[in-house]
Amino acid sequence: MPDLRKVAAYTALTLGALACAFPFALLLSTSIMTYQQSVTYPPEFIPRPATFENYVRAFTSSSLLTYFGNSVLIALLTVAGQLATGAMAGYAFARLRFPGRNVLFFAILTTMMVPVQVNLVPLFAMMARIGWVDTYWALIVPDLAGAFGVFLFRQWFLNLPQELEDAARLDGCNPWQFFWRVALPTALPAVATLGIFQFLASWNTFMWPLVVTNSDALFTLPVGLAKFQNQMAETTNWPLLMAATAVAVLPAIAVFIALQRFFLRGLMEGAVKG
Amino acid sequence: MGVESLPAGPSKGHPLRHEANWAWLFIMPALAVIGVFSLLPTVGSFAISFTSWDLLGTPRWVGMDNYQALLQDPLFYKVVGNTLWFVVLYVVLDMVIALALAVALNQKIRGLAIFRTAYFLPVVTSMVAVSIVWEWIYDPGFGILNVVIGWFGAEKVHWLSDPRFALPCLVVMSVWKSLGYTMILFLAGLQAIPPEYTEAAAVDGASGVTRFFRITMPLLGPTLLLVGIMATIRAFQTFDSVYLMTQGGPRRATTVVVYWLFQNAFTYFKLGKASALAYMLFAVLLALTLMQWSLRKRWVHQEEGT
Amino acid sequence: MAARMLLSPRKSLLALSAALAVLAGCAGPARQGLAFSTWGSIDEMDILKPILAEFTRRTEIPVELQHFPKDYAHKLRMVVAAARVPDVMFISNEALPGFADRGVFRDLGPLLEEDPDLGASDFYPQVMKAMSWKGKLYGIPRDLSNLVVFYNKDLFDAAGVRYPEAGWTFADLLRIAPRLTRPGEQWAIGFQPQPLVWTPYVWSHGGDIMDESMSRCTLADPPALQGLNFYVDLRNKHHYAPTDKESGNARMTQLFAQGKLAMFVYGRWAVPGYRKKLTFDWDVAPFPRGPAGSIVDTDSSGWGIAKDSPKQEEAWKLVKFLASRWSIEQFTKSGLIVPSRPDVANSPAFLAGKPASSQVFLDVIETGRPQRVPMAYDEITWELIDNLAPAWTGEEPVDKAVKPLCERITALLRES
Repeated sequence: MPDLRKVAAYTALTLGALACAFPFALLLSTSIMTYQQSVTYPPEFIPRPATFENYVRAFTSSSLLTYFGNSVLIALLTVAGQLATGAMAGYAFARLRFPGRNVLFFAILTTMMVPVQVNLVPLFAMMARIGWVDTYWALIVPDLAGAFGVFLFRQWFLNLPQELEDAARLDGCNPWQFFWRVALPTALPAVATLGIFQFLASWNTFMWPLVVTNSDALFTLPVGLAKFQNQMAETTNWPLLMAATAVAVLPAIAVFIALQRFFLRGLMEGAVKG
Repeated sequence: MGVESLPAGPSKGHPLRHEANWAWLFIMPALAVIGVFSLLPTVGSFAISFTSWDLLGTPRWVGMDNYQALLQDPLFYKVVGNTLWFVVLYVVLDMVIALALAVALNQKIRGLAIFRTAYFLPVVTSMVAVSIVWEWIYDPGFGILNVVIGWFGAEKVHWLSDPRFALPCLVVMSVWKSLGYTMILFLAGLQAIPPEYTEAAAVDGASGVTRFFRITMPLLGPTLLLVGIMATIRAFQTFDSVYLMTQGGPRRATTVVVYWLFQNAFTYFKLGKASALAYMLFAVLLALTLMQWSLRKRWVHQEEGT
Repeated sequence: MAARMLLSPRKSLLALSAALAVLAGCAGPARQGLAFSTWGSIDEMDILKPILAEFTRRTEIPVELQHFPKDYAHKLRMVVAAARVPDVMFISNEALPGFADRGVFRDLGPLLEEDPDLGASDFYPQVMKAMSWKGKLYGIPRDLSNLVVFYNKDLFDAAGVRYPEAGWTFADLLRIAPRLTRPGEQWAIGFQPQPLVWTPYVWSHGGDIMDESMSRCTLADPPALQGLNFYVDLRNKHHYAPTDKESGNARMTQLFAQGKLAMFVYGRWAVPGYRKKLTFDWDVAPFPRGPAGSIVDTDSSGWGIAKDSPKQEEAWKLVKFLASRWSIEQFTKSGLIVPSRPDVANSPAFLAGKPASSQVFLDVIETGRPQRVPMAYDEITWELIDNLAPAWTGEEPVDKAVKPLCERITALLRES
């Protein structure tokens, strides 16, 4: 006698999973259609013959490669920055004593309570004043450090066994040597977690790059895609747009699948951040 | 969370005269960036909200004028109404569906990893990409939604240009995107409930439905509240989808707070008005965030206690 | 050890601030010559660059061209906010008030008066007015931008209809339109939702979007409503103009080029493209006359000088050169603009080539006037487009859609 609950559960889950996966299937199938096929009614969802010309055209008729390169550059730099600054600060807050430690940590923590939209206008005004509008500086520097990274590493380093530190002190290690040679190597899971979080956040962020850049050469994938879609306002060539979108989406999915474990762990920590 | 004290030390050997100096070196980069590009703007936003400024020239002090103007603007109320409507629809749909799926997932299912991956594809995809694909789904001429309803003999609907449907369409898409995330949070909450409680009730003859609503749900209370608050905060911050799909229309039907903020700041260059709007949003979200944090503490302790 | 030197917190803080300051100041080497900003297509740049080269050849002042083809006003604002104002800036009369009001531009009136070579009388008074704000002149105009009716002579010939001529009226339009319309294939006239295009209908009925003091929306007043209703009826009542479904997302200019529109309201900027692309015979006629006359816009774009520029003399030299007869002729010959200078306008540089009736552009200057440009121009335009959309599709009667729109516009006008 099949467990009805289990059957219901499997059914519901499968339907949900199909619903989640379906738009991606649509994305791919549309991307290999020709424009003509996409505007025939009734539509064929598995185009015969399929074509990859849209992928080629996506790169040749738009600056998709530039957008991709920008997204990669900014993601890598901000991940590196967040890891470096977060690990160092997290370590200091967790294991070093200094005046004002609690106050400073609290100050950093409060930034997690502030929604990004509150900072948008003044940060933009600041960028305008110092002439960073429409430059890589504006896209990279503000994201080189963040409270979440500091918080994450501090949590991690708080759990370092005291004996490790005592032994290092006896050996005459200074804090930097201890950090670099002992503490950090044990923190690789935290590195992976923050890494994937920051990568995805940077890869997918839209509003700030939209606001602070307006030159094609500086657009990241989300902004570039939006502009690409905008240009087609009159008669949208959906297959072409889907191909460009697929190019934007696949790296994020690949990174996610590779580092799934760490992402999920980070989500639970991130439940505080929301 | 909270600021725990450092383990006792240094107990043996090496003097730590320079420990404070080392510490400064370690925290300086993070502190500098966060201080300049996060803390400073938050303060700045407050200041700008009391001025009238279009980025050219110097800001002009206007006191509470921006706040007053907002409160007297009928469009402000429309925007707030749209936002609240979006939030309510979104939170209810997201939580109900995610909870149902989490309960299903909790039934010792095989293939958990595959399901999880599928459900997370939307979560890790950028909202821009999601909006583009869904715009294709909602396309009046050849989009799949109209094709499907056409099979049932219905007429084509202009989903995104109909003031009645535009906002709900955005909600459905947003729910779809975050379903996996909400589901995982609920799953964690469900898994934190000791099975003994429901097993005892089963022994006493309580049906599955009764067990769920009389035992599981109350125990899930804090989780529900926590997840609900997080979903609410997320919904309040909607922007990308509106920018890409409807541009606040038709007839302002989808103008939500953050989109209107964007227009005021970066299209009309009314930085003071935009900052005032941002701070009003901040007040609401701050209250929700503080509630979330205090709940999270309790949740963590609940987890740790079991 | 280097680390020890940085160990003082104060020192490291200073070092970091210094680093940030250096980064902030990284604006590049000091400017040589004049910085000049403009928008424009590649074709326009092909006309502009030789002119700038000639200027440099004659005066030995180099010009650094800053070309912002998209979102020009937005980019200009960013550059101004970063205190890197170009010495000379090209600006449209729609964007001018936003900058002039903030003191970005220099008052050019006195300069023009004292100048031996250039004077106010060299230009049409209408464009001088368009380049002014609150009584002061802030730009020397390059062109005059107005609207005429482009028409397809072949379609008129095929229907046996006489070409529209000066003095023709709305009644004439209604009379000939049915003969030029073949439902589904061809329409008598185009329909565009942009305020710029339907404003002549409103003006020619004696109405306006706002009053002269720009403090009240007058779109709900009877004359304006008459104009709007006349316009909407062309499409929804008489079907002389295509609906959105019928035009299928193609723009009116594309439909015209495809030979599907007998007439449509447009401006001079289309001429270079039409000279190359159109396969049928075409010409232009003035906008038809309504109860209040035939009134179209007379907008303009021109060159202004930054008030804070340290190179005032050189900047004026550049502006003078750009506004000289020779330079304006270069812009005019391509067919792109109606020149701001009567001497060029009345010469073959403007009148030769298609359209044969280019004189029409000049004849209607007299009765035209610039758009009203309040500070909230962008926001008001957005409201106009968004709120009238249901009226254009016929979902809502014009009178009903206009009422809340007008309240909103009046509120915006009062705000500034």
